Amino acid sequence: MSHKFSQPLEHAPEVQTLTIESVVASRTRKVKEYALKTGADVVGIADPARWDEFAPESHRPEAILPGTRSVVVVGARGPTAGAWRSANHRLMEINGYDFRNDVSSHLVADMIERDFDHQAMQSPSLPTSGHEPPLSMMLAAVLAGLGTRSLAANIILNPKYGLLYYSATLSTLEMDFDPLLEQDVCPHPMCVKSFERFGKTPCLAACPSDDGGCLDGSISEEGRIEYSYFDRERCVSRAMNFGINSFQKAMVQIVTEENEEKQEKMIDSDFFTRSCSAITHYKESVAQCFECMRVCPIGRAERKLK
Amino acid sequence: MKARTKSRAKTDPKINFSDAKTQLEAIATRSGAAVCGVAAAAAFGAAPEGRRPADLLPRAQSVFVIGGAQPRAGDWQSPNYQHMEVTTTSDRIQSLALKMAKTIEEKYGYYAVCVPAGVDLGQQAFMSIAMAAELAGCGSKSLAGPVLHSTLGFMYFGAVITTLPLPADGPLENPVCPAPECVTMYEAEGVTPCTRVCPIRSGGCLGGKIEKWPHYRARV
Repeated sequence: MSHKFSQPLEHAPEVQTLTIESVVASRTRKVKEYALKTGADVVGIADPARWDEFAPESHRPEAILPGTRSVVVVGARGPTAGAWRSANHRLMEINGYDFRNDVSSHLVADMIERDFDHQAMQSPSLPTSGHEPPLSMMLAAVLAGLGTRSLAANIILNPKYGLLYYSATLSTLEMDFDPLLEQDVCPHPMCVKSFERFGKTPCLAACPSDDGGCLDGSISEEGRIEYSYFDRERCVSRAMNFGINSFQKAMVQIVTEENEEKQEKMIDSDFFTRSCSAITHYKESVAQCFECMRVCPIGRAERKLK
Repeated sequence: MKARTKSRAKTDPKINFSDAKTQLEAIATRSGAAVCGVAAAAAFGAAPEGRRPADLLPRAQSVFVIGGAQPRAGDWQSPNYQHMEVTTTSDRIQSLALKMAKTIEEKYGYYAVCVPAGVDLGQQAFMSIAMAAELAGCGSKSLAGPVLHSTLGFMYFGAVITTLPLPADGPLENPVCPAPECVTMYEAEGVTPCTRVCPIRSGGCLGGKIEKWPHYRARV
């Protein structure tokens, strides 16, 4: 053993001082790397206290997981760049969403419980009663510094990828938080110029509320969203033609139809078939209209391939 | 006006497409695919217009096909045949196809579209995945309906259309079905195991005949 101490001092192994800060930073890095490895394109961590300013008490992380100390938000691209280019827009109705964000979020929750012995759960993002989700994924994405609200149906746009689907993992594990974005992602400089010249941005022109569409808005002289209007009911009638709602509606019409021949045709129709398919595969019912996002310049560079 | 004859496809000189194919096959196999193959996008002339690869993805060059998620040996042994209705669906291979589409885009920078397993307007397939499997050499059409692989038989297929110009495998030279023992049975009884189990003349779904084909006896 004596030879161990005979080494000159300068060759002694370097001792890393572990501080609380370095431990938290290390685990934060590990969780983020894992999220990206399991399918997320972006990941951000939010302080649960940030919800206090924006959400009612029953819709904050603490109401879902008592003792929440961090909210890990992941975002994943839906359609492939090739799907955006397809002339058959119905293809995206089926392949527009692949639940990658949900998968990643679940795996992150598993990892936190397994590797750090802290409680974790995927935050519910769909309404459990009424029409309000227990926790808004849009708000979570903003509060984790992953994006900001846009003129296009209030979709939260990420500066690099544009449209993303978000999921959140609540945990009692203390981690470092990401800052909120300092700059608005929307409007894009090109859209500001377009608005100055034509009074419209590409998304507002694609679906104008004064012409049967869903969107309206204006941009201030400082280049920020001044006013925005989103007709959610109209949007639902375009973006969610097939799903639970259409199935319920069709069922009422089918069971009350007295003409047997007509009833059979209704059951065999494209509409009812696709409604059944949408509720069984579920992902088909998530989005069926991507037109405001198709013209959005944010994230377009990421969709430019060979 | 001068006709445009040159392909508009831009290719990356840094990519060896043969290596890319090998790498994609390795990823697919590691992720659960039992078989892989590539069909040339231009080979879908027999498909109706609107249902060909380039109709779904402009400048499509190849269709990468994966197959797998077939019922396990134990599944086939189970006396409760209904269990296969819920345990061996095509969902697994469809998820893998979507993953491969994303892999092609992220790894090679070429466009890729996963052919949806659902139906388009008129309850028509977006593109025949069975045809893609045949043209990629993953199997051939059978008397029983499905495309059968030469050694693994029945399986589910997924297809990814891409602008990545992968070397095509092309269809199999020799059809997988009928198997030699089915031909022998047909010669003796006029039916094969599948057409006997579900004969169209007695309320079933299958019928068919086998033509004289000199090579079948030479097959293993």
